[in-house]
Amino acid sequence: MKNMVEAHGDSVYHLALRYTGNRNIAQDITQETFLKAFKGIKSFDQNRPARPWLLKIAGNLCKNYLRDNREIPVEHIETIEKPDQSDPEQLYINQESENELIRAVKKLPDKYREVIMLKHVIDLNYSEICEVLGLELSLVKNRLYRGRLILKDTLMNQGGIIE
Amino acid sequence: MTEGGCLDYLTIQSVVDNEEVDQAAVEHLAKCSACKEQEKEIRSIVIYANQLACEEKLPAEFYKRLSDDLTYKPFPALLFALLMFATAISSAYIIEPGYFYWWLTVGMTSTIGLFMDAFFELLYFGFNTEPVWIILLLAALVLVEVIALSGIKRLEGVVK
Ligand SMILES: [Zn+2]
Repeated sequence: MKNMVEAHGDSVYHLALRYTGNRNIAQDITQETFLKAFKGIKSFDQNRPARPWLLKIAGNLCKNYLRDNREIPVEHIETIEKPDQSDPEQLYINQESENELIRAVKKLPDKYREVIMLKHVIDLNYSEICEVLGLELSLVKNRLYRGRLILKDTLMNQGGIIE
Repeated sequence: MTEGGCLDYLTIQSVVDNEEVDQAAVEHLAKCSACKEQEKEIRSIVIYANQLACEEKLPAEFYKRLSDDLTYKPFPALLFALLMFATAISSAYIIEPGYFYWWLTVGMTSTIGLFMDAFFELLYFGFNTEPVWIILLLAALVLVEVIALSGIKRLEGVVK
């Protein structure tokens, strides 16, 4: 159990953190993910990788959370630690463009957002995304492409920093 | 690939995402400016969206909190329900054996549904309640029973 938390805890946490924008809630969701996983471990095929299974549980919990808390403004989203943030000016620019990005991601329809999150937050490959979401490869590729296009359009309409 | 030999957008996206693609596609991309332009466009949004990645670690005490939650054992609910039930019956017997026999014969048949419901409610309650509240409730139940049965005795003139 400890191994599972050590290996995948941060991935689950990152997903929850990006969905909720709040550390405490993200930790609660991570905790609930592992509690659910341990309760259901008997029905889980131990030969399969645990990460997609955990992310599937976490993703569902996150979506439930978003459904019940639609109105959280981006301004209330906590700043998330990222590498290379020693320069304060760069930090400000990064934070601004990150907020733009989060606003745009929030506007995405569910089916695109979930693919975008798994790709860009957790850096899953296509087959892992297929496994988490139970989708065909072609559908994952399409949704990723469509999601990115919508994201780009939204960012441009917001006057975002993307070129 | 499209009819003109150029790559479709999903193949170009696969290249950008470091997924496996045909060697022919990679070779085409290396020398076709139209496809390269599309690649550049996809790559720009990918780089931008990669800002969603985060480095934060779960707090060190997370695992302890989780294992505390996993090892938490609720007060044994079945035992609690049985205890309540046994206390109610035995105290009824001690206070007034006549009523106990009445309940076992006439009372039980008419109120069995009620008692079964109460039993399962208590079982559910036991799963969700701290032991201290259970003990207090048990004491309150016995007290109510003593008062009620003493009241009945007084009414019927058993106690002078
Ligand atoms: Zn081409």
